[in-house]
Amino acid sequence: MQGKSLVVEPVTRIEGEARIIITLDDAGRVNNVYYQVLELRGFEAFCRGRLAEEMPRISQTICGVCSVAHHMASAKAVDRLFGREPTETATKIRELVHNIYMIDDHLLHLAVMALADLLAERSSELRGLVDVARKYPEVVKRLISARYITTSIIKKICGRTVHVPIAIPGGVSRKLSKEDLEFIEKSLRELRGHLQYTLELFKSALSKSQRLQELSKREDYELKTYYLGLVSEDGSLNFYDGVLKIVDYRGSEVATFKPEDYTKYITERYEEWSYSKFPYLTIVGWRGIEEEGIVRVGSLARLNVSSRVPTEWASEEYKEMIDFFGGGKVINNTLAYHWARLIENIYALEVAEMITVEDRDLLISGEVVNLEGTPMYEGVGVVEAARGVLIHHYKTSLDFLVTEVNVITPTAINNAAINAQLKKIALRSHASPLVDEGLSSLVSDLEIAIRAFDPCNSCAAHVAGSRLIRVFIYDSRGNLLKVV
Amino acid sequence: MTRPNIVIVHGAICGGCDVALANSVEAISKFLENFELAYWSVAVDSRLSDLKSLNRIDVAVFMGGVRTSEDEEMAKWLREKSRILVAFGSCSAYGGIPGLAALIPPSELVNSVKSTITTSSQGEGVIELSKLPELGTYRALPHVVDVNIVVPGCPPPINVVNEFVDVLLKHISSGKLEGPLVVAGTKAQCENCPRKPRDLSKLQIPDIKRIYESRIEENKCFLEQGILCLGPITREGCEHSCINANMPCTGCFGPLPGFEDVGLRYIAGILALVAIEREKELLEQGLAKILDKLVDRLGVLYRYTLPWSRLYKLRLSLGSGGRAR
Amino acid sequence: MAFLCKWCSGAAAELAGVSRLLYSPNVIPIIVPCSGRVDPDLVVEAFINGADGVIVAGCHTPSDCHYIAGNFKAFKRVYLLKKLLSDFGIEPERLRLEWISAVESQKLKTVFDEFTSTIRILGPLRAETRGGSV
Repeated sequence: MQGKSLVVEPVTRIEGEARIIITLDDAGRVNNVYYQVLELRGFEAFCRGRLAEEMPRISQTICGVCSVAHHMASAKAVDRLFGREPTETATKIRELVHNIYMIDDHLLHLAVMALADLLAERSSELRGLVDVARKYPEVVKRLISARYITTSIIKKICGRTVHVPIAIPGGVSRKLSKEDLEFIEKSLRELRGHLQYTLELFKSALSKSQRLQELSKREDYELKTYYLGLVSEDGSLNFYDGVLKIVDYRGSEVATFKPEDYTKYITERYEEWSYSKFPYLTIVGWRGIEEEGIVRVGSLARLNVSSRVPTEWASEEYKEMIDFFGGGKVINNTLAYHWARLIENIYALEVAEMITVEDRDLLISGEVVNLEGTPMYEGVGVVEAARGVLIHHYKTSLDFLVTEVNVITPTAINNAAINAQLKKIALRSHASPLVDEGLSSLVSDLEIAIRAFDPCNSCAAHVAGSRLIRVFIYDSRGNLLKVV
Repeated sequence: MTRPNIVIVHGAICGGCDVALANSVEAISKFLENFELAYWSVAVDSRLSDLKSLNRIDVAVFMGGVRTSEDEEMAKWLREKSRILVAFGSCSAYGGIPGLAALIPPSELVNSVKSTITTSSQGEGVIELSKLPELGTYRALPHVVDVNIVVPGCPPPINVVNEFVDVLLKHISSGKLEGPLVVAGTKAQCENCPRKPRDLSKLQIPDIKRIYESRIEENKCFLEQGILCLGPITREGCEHSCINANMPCTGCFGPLPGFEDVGLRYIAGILALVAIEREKELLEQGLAKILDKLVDRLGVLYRYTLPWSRLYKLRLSLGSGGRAR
Repeated sequence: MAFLCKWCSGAAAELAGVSRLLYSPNVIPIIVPCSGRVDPDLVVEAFINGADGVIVAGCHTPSDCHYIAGNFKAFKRVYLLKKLLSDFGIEPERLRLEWISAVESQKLKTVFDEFTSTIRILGPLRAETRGGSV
């Protein structure tokens, strides 16, 4: 029976806040790890009674990092409940904004959260953006310029960069002007150069860093999970629309289904110790937080699930990544999420470029809204947010007041996987958490893994809010040993 | 000479205010030049113990509403330790959108999570180890502690963040700060609105419409289209971002100086003018029918400011009783 | 608290006084130039400061208002305020709007007395016995 306490708080460089609890057995070895999300804002409750058409503006405040994704998923659910098929112009404008948002979100994660992990020569050498900016000012400058471009494009179209207002039932509130389009085209040309740079930066860091290479080959960083993602009808990568597909860790297809059927494939489990629930695949069933039964979403999952990347440059980059990880279609190493994000940036850029060229006329002169439709009073909207599959599901009364809300966010879907990943690393770690050095090395390994997922705790806790990640270490009798 | 230090701390957030800071490159560079960034979990690896061990805090930036007991403790601790305390973002300043949960008992919030259509099973046993923080009465920061600066917006746009940094630099060297100083305009959105009707005294609000009912006309005042824009009661400063995207203002910059309760003011000043030219024709019955079209009063009138309203204050003072909604 | 417009309901109160018509002493009258002058803020302040009920009384619609259509504004404000009170979990019956002309002193007495009973039945706004919490 020990009496010492170990608590680590917060887990830094993630969005929002959460806590890690590590339990030890009597011999002082780790026997379990829990990732705990801590606050509650209550969207499922307070959205009841709201005007359905206002949900895209309201529900996106679940998260200020992926607000555009929430806005779009919500918009699609609202289109459905009003029974209005959005116009072509509206769809193209939304798709354009959505793909730019993907790049923006991935770059934000890279710049503010991941860079220190990727560029550090030793573990914990770089403690965040300030350190990185000091050591690699050029890198930070380029990323800032790149994000300046993405945020400017979103602002041009939507009036603001965070919590955008444009989606309405059956359409969007405005079309683009010729000036808007010229600005966007010029911006995309500039952006291309920046994205090329970030990809080269990553690949060079990877090739120079033994540390990174080791991490990407470590067995305890590999999780053989199921993968879930949105794909086009032909199976190719698609962030905005399509069908949902599940594959297993070898790449075999488990199921493909329409977004409105999601309730048959996803179930959620509520645990008293976290305000974020644990979604799992209904087909597989809940097997606890064990590698074999859980599902992952997000950039790595999307590449694993889709049959191909339908744009030229991105698909070349994807081939390189496949080769690095041994040639198999499905990559299970968690660190690969970082590389996958950079490839997805390229894909999103190419999609945006295509829209501005092929759909130019639609963007500036089509109908923005369709006011006709037979209301269904219920709707499901699914998109890929940066972190993975995002589901919004609403039911309304006959005067379009929301009666029920169900939102499943990608970080919630990854909740079990994050826990499983942490547990795997902690259980295999030789570091003794009772010793300072051992603890900091363990915590560093854990945090690197968490950051690779790019969790968005505001989303996972939409039910709630968040606080920094803390690590609590308990012994087998439940005595708090340490907080870090 | 040590630079003054700055900490950035979270209540019940969505992350948007952190992004707003990250997007304001000019502001961030000024911060890093002039301040020691002692704590910002999103970007820097300092631990809570580092925060708690600071001897003094020159500037504390608090984002998010005060939802849990931990948020409240943190707010009080920061007020004690800090020279300048900033309520950053509409949640911190007025309550924000999560303020719509303020009238709902915490147990119902938790139940709403447990009872969604896909939640079918429940884990057993609490891990006594780490109890979740308790949900208390939801409040805006200025209702918990005194603040020196308020930066409104959901989230504050780049121009406002830049202005905020300038205000901070101006006041950090001087002694006392008369507060709270609100980094936003003192006039309503209408003042400089690109759609401002030429003669405001002739403004007619014909009806109350929801945005799905018909095409939203660009360049025409929303009120004249029957769409309830909160511009008349909301501080300017955002450069009409939503209005320029052809959507009505929903009031994230909060009420004009001198008013606390957005809903009461909007009823008094704007809704009382609905169908003004047809009052004697419609009579009470006809007018009531139009007013009934405002079905979601809380969501429209108090979307960002419910915890800030006088009615909320009244409700809290009753201590108990009555089912809200 | 009763906000009475001076032209109609206020005059009725005067008449009640002169006629020795007794009405409930629980009602505190305040004369305003027009019912349209009654700000929803004022009503809420009255509740915050201890009123258990508020009456707003003005001139009959459609044409009795001395300022043409002030009473219609009062109607809209009170109508919406009652709904808001309900939204915030407060009984809307605690706010009442009436049209009372200068000669209707009997009506004034009846309204005041009835309203006082209504409030007695509802109980004080702040009561230990109210259950549940926010």
